[in-house]
Amino acid sequence: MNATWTNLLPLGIVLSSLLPGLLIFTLREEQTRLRVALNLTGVLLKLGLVGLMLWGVARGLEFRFSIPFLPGGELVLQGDALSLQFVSLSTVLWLATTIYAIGYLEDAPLRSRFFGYFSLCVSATVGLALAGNLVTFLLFYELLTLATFPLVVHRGTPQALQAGRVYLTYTLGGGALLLMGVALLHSLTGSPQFSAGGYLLPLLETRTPSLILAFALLVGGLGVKAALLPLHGWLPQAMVAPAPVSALLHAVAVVKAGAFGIVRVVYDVYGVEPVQALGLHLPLLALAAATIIYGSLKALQQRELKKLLAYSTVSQVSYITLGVALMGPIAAVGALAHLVHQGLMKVTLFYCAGNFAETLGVHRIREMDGIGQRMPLTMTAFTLAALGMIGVPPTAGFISKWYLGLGALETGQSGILLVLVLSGLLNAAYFLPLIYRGWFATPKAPWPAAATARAGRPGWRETHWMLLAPTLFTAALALLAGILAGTGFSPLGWSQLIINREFDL
Amino acid sequence: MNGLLWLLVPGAPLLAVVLLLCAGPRRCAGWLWLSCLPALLLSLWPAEPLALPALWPGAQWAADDLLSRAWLGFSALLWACASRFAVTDIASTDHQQRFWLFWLLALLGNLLLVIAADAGSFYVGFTLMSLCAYGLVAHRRGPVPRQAARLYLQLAVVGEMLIYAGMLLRIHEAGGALALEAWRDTPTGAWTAALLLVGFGLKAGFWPLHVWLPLAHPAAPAAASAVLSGAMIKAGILGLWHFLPADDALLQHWSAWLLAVGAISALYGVALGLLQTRSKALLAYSSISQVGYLLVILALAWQQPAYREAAATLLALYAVHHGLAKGALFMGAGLSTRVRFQTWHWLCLALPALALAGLPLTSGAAVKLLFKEGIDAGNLAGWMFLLVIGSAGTMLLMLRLLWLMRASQRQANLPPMAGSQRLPWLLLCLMPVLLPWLWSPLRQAMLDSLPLYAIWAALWPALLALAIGLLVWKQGWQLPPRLRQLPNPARVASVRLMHLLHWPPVPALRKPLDERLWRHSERRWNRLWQVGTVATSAWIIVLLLMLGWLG
Repeated sequence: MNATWTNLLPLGIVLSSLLPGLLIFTLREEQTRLRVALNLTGVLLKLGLVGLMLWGVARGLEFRFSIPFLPGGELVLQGDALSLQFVSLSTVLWLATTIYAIGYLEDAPLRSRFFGYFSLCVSATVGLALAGNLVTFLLFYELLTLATFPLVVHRGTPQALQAGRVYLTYTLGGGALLLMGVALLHSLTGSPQFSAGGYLLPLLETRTPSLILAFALLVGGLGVKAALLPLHGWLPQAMVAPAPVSALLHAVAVVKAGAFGIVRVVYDVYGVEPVQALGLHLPLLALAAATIIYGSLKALQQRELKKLLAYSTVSQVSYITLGVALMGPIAAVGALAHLVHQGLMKVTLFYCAGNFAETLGVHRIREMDGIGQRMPLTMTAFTLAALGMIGVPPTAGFISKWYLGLGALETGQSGILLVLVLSGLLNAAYFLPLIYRGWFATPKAPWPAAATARAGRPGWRETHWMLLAPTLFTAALALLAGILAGTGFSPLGWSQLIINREFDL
Repeated sequence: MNGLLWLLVPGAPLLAVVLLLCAGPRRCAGWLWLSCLPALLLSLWPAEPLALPALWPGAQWAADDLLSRAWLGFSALLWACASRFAVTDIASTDHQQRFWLFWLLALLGNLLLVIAADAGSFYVGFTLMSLCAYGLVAHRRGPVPRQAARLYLQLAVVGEMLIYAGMLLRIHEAGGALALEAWRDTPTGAWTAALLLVGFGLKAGFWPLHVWLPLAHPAAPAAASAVLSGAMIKAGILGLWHFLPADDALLQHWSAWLLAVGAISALYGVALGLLQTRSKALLAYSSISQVGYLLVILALAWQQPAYREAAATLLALYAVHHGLAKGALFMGAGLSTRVRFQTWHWLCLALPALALAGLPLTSGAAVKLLFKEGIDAGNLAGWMFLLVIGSAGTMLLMLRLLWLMRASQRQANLPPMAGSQRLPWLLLCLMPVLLPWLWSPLRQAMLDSLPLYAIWAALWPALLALAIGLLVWKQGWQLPPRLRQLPNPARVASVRLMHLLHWPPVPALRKPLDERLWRHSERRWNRLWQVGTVATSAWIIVLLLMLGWLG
């Protein structure tokens, strides 16, 4: 293989966070400046490399790195339009979350360990996004599990350890299922590169039961991370992790890895036609619809802000699965756009929850009364993101819902429209009271004075600037992704590009 | 003219939002009314249509026909007057910045939906307006505004979702086209029409979807009620007009039912309005009654596709007439409880009241004449009684309104009216008389209503109502106490729904696993597999390979 820059770029993108991460492990606790510098260098380097790759892919260049790994399955990193959607999302959100985490963990113990694993986690996510075949995907998928576990249990409290145990049980079980599925497919055809339209069409006639079994195993394995209905139990417990971890977990890293895997399996391994021929999309559709409703119903019952957000994730991530399972180009555009939109909105919501907790010690919903007067900017970001979750125009969530609904009608699944309407109503039922409390209710007690809070005045100084800036940044992105959806560089425009290549339009 | 000027319509309120956030409400509230100015000017001198593909494919803003221009003009005028009026109206309350923020965003939404030439822009504007109006209704403290606003929001969200579903179905029917122009000729399915009728009906507030109106209007500040009733609820009617096709067999089939709903709404509003003891609640019921007439116009247009052109004109005139008159009356009702009225104030206030009742030389007489023509065109002579009863009822309603306002003037120590409120209010009060002379479509209709027989036709129901009113006054009849406190099932249901959502009656799905039991079984499971790990794994792999080979 020639070592040209197009071949090395995918590797560079993975290494740009891996190497700083490994270096950070070696740092002593008090070397704050060096650690921050390493973190930021990694982030900015990756941002530059991803920008370069975006530019290249839009022009039709091919980026592919491969080394021999297994017989019939090389270790392939490649940059196509779909992987770049996910890579860009994780890179941008990593930038925001790194800054947030630096502010959040100021003066907290064990920061070297935290930021080390944090970088590893992002490397695994990016590797998973760039993975060019199932074997590589599996490798990074497992690495992600291992890299996130220390982050979930970072606080070390009994509660955190318990949550970590549950997390590990679920994800390792899911990983085992995925391994079996990948092994089964590998034994059938090896692991060729992901390709639009899939590579299993030749086996459709002869190996039907195997293909169905492999699909069930793969979706079962990926469904754990994507928090599909019976396998979602770890997610609400994992919210004991520090706010930046929750934010990254719910917006990009783990949950999205599962959803992204489902997209890959359906579009690039099986292909649309074989999945339809085998009738595999209908159970997936039913599962996604049930998860959407169930997650919203559970969110309605929560009294803790972060738990509510966690159940909301269960519901919202299934929009992606739903869009994929609808098997039509319009719904697919909605699903891929929602991959980004949900990330932007959910990360904002978790930042806000973190800001409330860090600044004012607000953890429960009932303590949010009148918080809009004390922290107007954070509350504004929260409002925008929550309205996006409900699907109120012109926020990003509306665009996803628009395309998903149209896609459902296009494929003749009108019942899904009902699911979307119900989900919208339930989302409104649990998000609007929060907005009401924030802006309209009167606080039960005066807010703690500046001694315990990080900063004093409402406005730009309402909390530490490192906590406030990422929040406002992602909220603005979520709004812009909705308002400027028609432009070519919006998540929607890019999804359209992917789907045009995928469906050969 | 340059199409980019349309950007000013939503741009000006946005600019005002920025100004408000930077300078604070005390300094800039008095100038916020200027943000309606671009819309007003563009309604007089419309620019070319503006396509905005950057928002979404097919986004387009324009106002080129009479209906859109009239709608834009009266909305902008009403909002401008109300903005100026609101400055003094809410001067003594807390959270002014919040109020103005919601106000400007609702204004932005309202103007956007009027200039929208595609469904996406309309829906964006409509949602923005609907949700932000919550902040206006909930502005005052206390349980009553809170309950009213809650009911409003619950219904607004439900309506929003129904419209969302209906709109997607409609886009699907139109083969992906978003332009409202294209929808005019696309036949509609039954579900689509039903969803849109209920969704927009919840906003328009005709019977039986009116339940939020009588609660929300008295709770909101007077300026907010004025725009809510004058401009916002009509967005529902405009939505129905734009979203549903002009010539459609299904709607033609349904039009008889819609006529009936409109008629019931018109009479129900009058009947319930007469039972009210607060002037703003009475005006809310009057709005329900007037929206009933607007629904009748829509139904006539669907029933007689040939009549649609004329119906569009009538709809525009009716909306302008009712919007401005109702705005003036709501402001007057708000003023009557706070400032001392002088005689000429009463005279000014009587103008919109009499215009609503359809008295000659006002805009009311003109629209009533056109309305009659519409009913004639539909061969619905039997429905003419509706107009007669309706205008007599409206007259009675207006008499009762003036009576209630006079009663609220009895309290001592009312201050004189502030200059900043007088001007916008007077402008709106004079509109029903001035507008027929200033605006040619209305002028023609008003001149047509001047022959003696037409004047008599307009006058005798009003005189009848006057006589009934005098009789009631002379006899000193009072409302029976039982009718004063009518039960309000909607409010009860709204509170119940809130409780249900706060404490959903879902039991925990299962008890948390006993920790020790779990650990115990885990250990046993581990011990079971301790021997022969490699062999077992090998067996599993062999099994899988066999499966792959067999499959």
